[in-house]
Amino acid sequence: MNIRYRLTAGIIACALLLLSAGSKAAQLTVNFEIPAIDAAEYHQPYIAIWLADEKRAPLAQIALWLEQEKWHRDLRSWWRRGGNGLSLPIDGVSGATRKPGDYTVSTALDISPGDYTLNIEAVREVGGREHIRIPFTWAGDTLHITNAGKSELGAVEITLSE
Amino acid sequence: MKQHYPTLLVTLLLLASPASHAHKRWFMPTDFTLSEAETVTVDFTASNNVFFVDSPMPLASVEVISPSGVKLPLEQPYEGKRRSSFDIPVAAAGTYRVTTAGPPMYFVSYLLPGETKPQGGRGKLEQLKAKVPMEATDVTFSEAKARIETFVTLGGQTPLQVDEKADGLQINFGNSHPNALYTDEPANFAFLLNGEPIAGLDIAVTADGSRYRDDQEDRSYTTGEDGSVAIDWPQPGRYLLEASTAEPLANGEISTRYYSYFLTVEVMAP
Repeated sequence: MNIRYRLTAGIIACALLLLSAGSKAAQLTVNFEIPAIDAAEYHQPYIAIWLADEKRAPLAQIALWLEQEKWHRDLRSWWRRGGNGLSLPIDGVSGATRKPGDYTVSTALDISPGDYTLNIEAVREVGGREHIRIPFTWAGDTLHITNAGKSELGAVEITLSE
Repeated sequence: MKQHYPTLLVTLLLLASPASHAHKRWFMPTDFTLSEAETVTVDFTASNNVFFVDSPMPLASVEVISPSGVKLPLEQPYEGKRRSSFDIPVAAAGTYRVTTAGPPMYFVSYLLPGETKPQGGRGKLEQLKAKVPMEATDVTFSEAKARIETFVTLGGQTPLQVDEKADGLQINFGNSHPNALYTDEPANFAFLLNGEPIAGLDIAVTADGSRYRDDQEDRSYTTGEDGSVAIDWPQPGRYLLEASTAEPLANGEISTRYYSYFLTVEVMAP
């Protein structure tokens, strides 16, 4: 076995590995609503949107709209599932809190077909907290799912495309 | 029936000992989990009323250990009539351990001539020995070692190490960190006595707010052969976990050694 043959075999093996993993770029778009809430004392909600695998381990942070660090822990599902170990802010993910309205966030993901959960969690100072989990199976093609919150979040729509 | 007498004697000893009637003792921090560096104030009290302070506990034996293992001084120490308290300026990411590492407490019980009611006292062994009158009979000394703990984490949790040289009761937390407890998963703790797994240890877990219910609603557990126990949490909130055991000593001036352990934790909804 000469060196050239070994190198070629190595390159082919790497290519096969990449193909079998089937990892590819996908565009994830999340449309969601921060509902207007009639409260005596209204604060804009802290929002975390993240993608997790079937074991709830975080794969990608999609949007983190936060203010004071002191209250980050109150997004308690996000905090439990990796939020407590993140170095913030994250470029393209972190942002300020927003007023009620319809919003769209979009990100490129490098993922394989499989089972995932899109998480969206909102918590409001002197208000409530809501965490919507949207489990889905991605076959590698275009996927479109709608969901809705009951209190702190309104309609949620996710689109995953090649 | 004769073979039952030793058991009966041990039981009577347990019932008669002040140690077995000791109050619950606990730390209560203002926060268990932080996402920003800030000061945490901790109450330290002896109180059976979970979680209302009742009597102050001495701060002399309290240790605050930083995530990197450095012993920190207690800030703003206060020993009042109903509680003791101190501040921890939490600055580093990771888990701070609040614990007691004091010398054991000793108890004495004795009878005076012509009296049937035993006299008692507690304190340092040498002081107790000096206090017992010459004419006293049925003099028994006992020793009590208590470990009282809680944990506070800024950011991600630091894995907690077992101190194999530590005497008394302690917990090997394994993968169940005391600052990452949730109602949707049981905590798998392993208990050690003097560094060795302890089987058959009785554990009681009391949820916050006993003042507002008719029953203590303690949940009881017993450790398995390897000292392990799976504790589930029926609802989110703060809990006191308590374990105690006694070891009769055959020889020497101490008749019984009591061990107790108290842990305050916060359990979150998933």
